[in-house]
Amino acid sequence: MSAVAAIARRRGRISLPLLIGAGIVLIWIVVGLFPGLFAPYDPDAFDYDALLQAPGLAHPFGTDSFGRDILSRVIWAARLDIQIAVFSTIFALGFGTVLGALCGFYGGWFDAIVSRVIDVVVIFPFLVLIIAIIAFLGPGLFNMYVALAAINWVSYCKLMRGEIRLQKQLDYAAAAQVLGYRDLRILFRHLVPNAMTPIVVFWMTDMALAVLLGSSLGYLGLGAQPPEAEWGVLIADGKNYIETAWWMSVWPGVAIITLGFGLSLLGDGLVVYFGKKERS
Amino acid sequence: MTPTGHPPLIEVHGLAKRFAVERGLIERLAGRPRRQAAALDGVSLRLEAGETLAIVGESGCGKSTLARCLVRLHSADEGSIAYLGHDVGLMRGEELRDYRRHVQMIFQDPYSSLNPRMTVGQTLSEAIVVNGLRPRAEAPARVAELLDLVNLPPDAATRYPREFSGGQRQRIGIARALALEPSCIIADEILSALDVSVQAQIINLLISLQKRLGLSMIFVSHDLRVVRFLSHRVAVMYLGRVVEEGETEAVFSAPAHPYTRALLAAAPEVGLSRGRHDSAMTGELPSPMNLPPGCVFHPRCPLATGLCRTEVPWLLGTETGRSVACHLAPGRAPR
Amino acid sequence: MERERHETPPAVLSLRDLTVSLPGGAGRFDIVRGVSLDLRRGEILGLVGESGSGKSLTLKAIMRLLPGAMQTRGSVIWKGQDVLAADAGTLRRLRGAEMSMIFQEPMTALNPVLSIGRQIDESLKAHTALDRRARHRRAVELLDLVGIPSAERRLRDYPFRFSGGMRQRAMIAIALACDPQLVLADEPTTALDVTIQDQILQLLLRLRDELGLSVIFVTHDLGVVSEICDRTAIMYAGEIVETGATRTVLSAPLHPYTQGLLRSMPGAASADGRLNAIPGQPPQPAARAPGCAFAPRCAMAGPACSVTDPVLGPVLGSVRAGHASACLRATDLIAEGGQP
Repeated sequence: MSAVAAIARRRGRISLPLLIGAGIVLIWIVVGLFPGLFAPYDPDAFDYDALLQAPGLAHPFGTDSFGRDILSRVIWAARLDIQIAVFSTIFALGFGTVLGALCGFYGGWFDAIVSRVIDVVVIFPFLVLIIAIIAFLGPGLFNMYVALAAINWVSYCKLMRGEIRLQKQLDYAAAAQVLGYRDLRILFRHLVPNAMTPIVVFWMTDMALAVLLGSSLGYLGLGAQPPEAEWGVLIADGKNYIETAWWMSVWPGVAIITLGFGLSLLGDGLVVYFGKKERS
Repeated sequence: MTPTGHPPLIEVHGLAKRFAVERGLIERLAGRPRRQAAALDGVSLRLEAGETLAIVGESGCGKSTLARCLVRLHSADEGSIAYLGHDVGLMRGEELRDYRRHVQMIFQDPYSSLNPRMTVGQTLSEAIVVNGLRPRAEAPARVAELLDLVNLPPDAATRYPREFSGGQRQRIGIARALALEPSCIIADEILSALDVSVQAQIINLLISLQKRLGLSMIFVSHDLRVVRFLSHRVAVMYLGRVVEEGETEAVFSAPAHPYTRALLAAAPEVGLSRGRHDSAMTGELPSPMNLPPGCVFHPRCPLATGLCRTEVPWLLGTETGRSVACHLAPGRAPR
Repeated sequence: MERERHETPPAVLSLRDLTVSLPGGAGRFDIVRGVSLDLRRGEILGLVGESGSGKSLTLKAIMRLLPGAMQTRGSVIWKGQDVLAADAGTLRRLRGAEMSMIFQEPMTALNPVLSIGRQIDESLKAHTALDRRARHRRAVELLDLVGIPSAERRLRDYPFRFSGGMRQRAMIAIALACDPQLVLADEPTTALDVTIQDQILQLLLRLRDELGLSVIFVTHDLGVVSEICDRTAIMYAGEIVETGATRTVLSAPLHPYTQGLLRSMPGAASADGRLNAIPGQPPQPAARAPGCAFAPRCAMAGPACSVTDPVLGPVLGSVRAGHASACLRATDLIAEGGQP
């Protein structure tokens, strides 16, 4: 059956969700990196001759109460939101996976203590805890990153711990031990690379959630601060005009949804991609 | 000590290993005692240089646990393993690394025993470089040598394990063990995942390697045909104990322990269409958590007497170089 | 034990040109190629081959258990009816009630969250009109039949409480629940220890004699085949390369692959203390060259072998009835005495 499986694998590995997800995310990354290339106007330029204009030829997404071009503001905000997606998760990812790897590999009292700490963190409602920390540190993007790193590492830690415990059972781990390799080499050169798949997949989903969370906090005034263009802040800007100028809130909303959707699709696609590959 | 005065390559004495059985929360609260499953119970063996010793038995007999104890993947609870007279259990640091270099293991599962994210070349050169056998610059040449030794093409070095068949992967596992230039190989059921025709290729490879490199080997297997073909001496295990040990041909042609006899009788042979017969052995393996008293084989033994139910038969040597753990074995004084 | 068969009883199951194909690369390729077989009542037929030879796929194709991507052609005639053409209702009635299957790994083939009793009961409920009490009686009877002691009590146990051998017995009990006439056994003893394997093989032989079962027994172990199969078909690269009475096939094989398999077994070593391994690897189904699939590994292969596709058929000069080989040089093998 091995040959049959190999062919089925080659055919099915790159799935449609993977392609669509990667495409959407890639577009947003390019837009975020070079907003000047895509934005037709200066995102902060006031134009008192064009206040609250509905979408039209001159302003495809319309303008806000200061006459700023919504399309340009959404494009420039992408830079910030992608930054949020990455920075809200990367520290938790790094710390959580290393700690989880050590816990899973060594076990014992160290693992027991970390596991209890995780239990305690998990008991509190996630959003309440985040808001409490930001309220304590003061609003702003940097403090939002700190809060997320402080809480979110538990997810990565739990995931990695379980995965390492699983990999440790496999014979290649025993072989590495018999070959006389030192613990840290076995852990980080052999086990961790094989345990990264679920972490990477979870990271995609986590980034999608971080974008939504960053926008929510921006909307609440706890994340990015006006006049910085951030999708959540843009939506908040438009909330007073929602009945007269729907376009102020809707377009940034659409932007959030597409990036979140793209990241989720990418995550799902990676599950299929890695899953098929690993089953060989 | 052998007659020549040299200590044997590996000598196992009275080895015991028990695994704790997980208790559930309720069991713990109820104060149930910690239960243990005996995997090895007083195993003694010796391996001389250049010899192949086979360890046979059915699942649960402890043969894989023994193999893992020999390379210190498990530490024994009681008893000792000596390598050229040095106690392996006491080895630490550099000494242990040195021991591991000399006693290497080949694993059962050719799929899980190779790191899927490393190329064959990376896997082999890591073993060479980390153990300081060659400088990094000379590693590729040595990798090519090793691949040639196990009859794999040179371009295998740049490929990943998933690109190989089971038999080829097992060759890679052998090459990895040989990378350390060991004097002894522990082979743990290395054929059981392979097809018959591929098994034959690997057996031939082992034989030629043993001749060329003067390897000693402990060959753990459940396949009696292979064991008979490959080994000089054989130890038959049942529920953590060695029940019979001796020259392979002698044991196979005149088994002295009732379990060995039953095992041989149960093995299907080509050209031996016996039709319906009574199974050589009835009943199932007792639980290792609750071993029967006396001889562990007595509940399934057709010859068991009262003595067998109460007293453990020790593994005693006979004048023919055979050791048997049975009260009824010839030469034992009936009580 | 050789059964007398002067008047050959009619086949209950006939495979004709059974072919299973997979999509891949350019078009489809065949992973089972033109398998034709006859199985008679009360007969155990061994289907032997290495992994990837298509033996398990053939078995699953008979039961129509293959995934949708695999296309099946040819015919599977069970008591005059083509299983491959049967509609969903007929199929449901056939499976379980007339033909059933025993799998290699009883732990994964049994449902871990249902007691053994429930699993037998389910099958009885689906295929018989027995009431609850009668079904219970039947379940106890079945466990007795397969040699599970204290059946009444064991019915309430879950699969994890059973040892490997007992689980396999339980699975056989489930397979036999509705008195099937055909049992398809897919390596049922491969995961078991030899002493337990011996017990299960004896059980199958006894059940065949008592119930008149017809069995197709898939295995890679020629020793097992020799013990229990009346007839044997050897598969290589999706095709049957040799078939005949087990004793004939194993003692006077007329295909180089069968000979190679027998020779590569320990116990048949050559003089220099090495085994006669078959060199090389089986071909990948997608990269199959024309001619005989075994030719690249065959010591006897001539120029014709890599051009002409050999057809399974009786060998000229073979005295044994029903012995067929798919080898262009089979006659030469007879000349050599057909020694393995």
